[in-house]
Amino acid sequence: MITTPKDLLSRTAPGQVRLRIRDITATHEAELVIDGNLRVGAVAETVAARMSLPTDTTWALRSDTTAAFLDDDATIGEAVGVDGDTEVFLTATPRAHLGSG
Amino acid sequence: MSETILQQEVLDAGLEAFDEDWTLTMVLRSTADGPPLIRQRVTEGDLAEARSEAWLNGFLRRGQPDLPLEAVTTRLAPVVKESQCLGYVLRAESPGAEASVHTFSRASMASLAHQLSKQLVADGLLREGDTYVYELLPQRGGLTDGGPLPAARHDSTGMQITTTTTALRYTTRPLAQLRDTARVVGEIDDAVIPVFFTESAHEKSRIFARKGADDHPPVETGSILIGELSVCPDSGEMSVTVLDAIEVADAEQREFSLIPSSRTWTRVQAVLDRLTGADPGGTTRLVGQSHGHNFALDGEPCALCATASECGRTTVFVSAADRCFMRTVFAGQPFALCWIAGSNARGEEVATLFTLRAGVLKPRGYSVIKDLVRS
Repeated sequence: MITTPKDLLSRTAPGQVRLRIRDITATHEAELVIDGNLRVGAVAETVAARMSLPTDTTWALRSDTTAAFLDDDATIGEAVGVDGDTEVFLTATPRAHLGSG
Repeated sequence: MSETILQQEVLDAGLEAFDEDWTLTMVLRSTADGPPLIRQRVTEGDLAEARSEAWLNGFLRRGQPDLPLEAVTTRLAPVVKESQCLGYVLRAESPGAEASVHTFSRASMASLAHQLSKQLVADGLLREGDTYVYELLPQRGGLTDGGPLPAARHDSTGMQITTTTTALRYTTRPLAQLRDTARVVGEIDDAVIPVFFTESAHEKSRIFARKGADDHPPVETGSILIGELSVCPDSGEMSVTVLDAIEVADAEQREFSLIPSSRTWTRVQAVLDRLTGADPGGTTRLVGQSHGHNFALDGEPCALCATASECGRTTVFVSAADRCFMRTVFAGQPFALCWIAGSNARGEEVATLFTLRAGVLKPRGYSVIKDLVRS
């Protein structure tokens, strides 16, 4: 039987980015290798769904390095500013608020 | 429809309905006898909160705290009386574990109804502030969850995604030890998970929630609650203990809302990382939030004011925004706490703890303890 080493399978191709995304409570985590041309908003929604987070709300991605929310309309490659095998850490954050109004 | 009556309806209906697969459809109308404005099938996502509550009450609180949510499958059956769907029942199962049955009223679907109403407002079929009624229509035919997802797969967008869920971490602590010196706030009900605040965490929750009451006009302020889950070695019961509160700082504070910013979440994350980093594999986690509905009630005291010992007109209630916050920030965590402070019509400060019960955030009692010796 021929097997392929796991790390070879998950290596990034040119133009791809490697992300590790967790939710606010650090209960759910996702590891991704994705096309850097995908929009941030689309990545956030897809990852939220895969992490079994409610999909009837809007999710944003926040950089654990800069603490800033990524621009939903930017490509994920532009937003994180790196590609290749450097892993970028992000937090999926719901656009939700507290309050009586 | 009260929970007790609904449970009786379930008993009357029997459990044969689990032999068939069911789906539910929500219908919204502007009045009870008006035409349907919108219909939408209830999805697995809409039932996620109910599923997680079934996991909590069927397994976590019955001596199986290591059973992950993903290992629990549920089957749905509607509760119908006189052709009206009063709610639904979830039968929760896991291999090797005793199955359990959990009832949910129609009100557990209020969040879905709220979303649909917003869609109707956007489409011009309802106006902002209009009232509406919603009902559930059961139909035979499959909506059961499929249990655990594959560990990795390629998404339709071409993403290569692997997801993991952190196992619940908890301490082992006899409930009797926690209750030994506890001061009870409100009425303790064994039907819901026991909750304890340390004295200092309780006071910080209150201070941060009411901080905005002194502003002119008052604004909403609050905190994120830090704590741990415990399991009683004697009874197998799980409990939540709040150990600290982190102020929701750098947030947009308005009269009727509190909007966390990226800086807010970064600070919360930093505190959590510091606590968990100092205790790798430890049990510290985010367990809920406290906030203040700090606006003043309009109008004069009502006629009951002269005779009633307590004033029931308060600013403390779970808003649609609060529900959404709890469902999203604490997704899959049915033990999460929603503590709201405010004032009553007499100007007295009041506060209430809400946790999930039959799919609805309901008021409940809790205990305040002097200190906690952490092992």
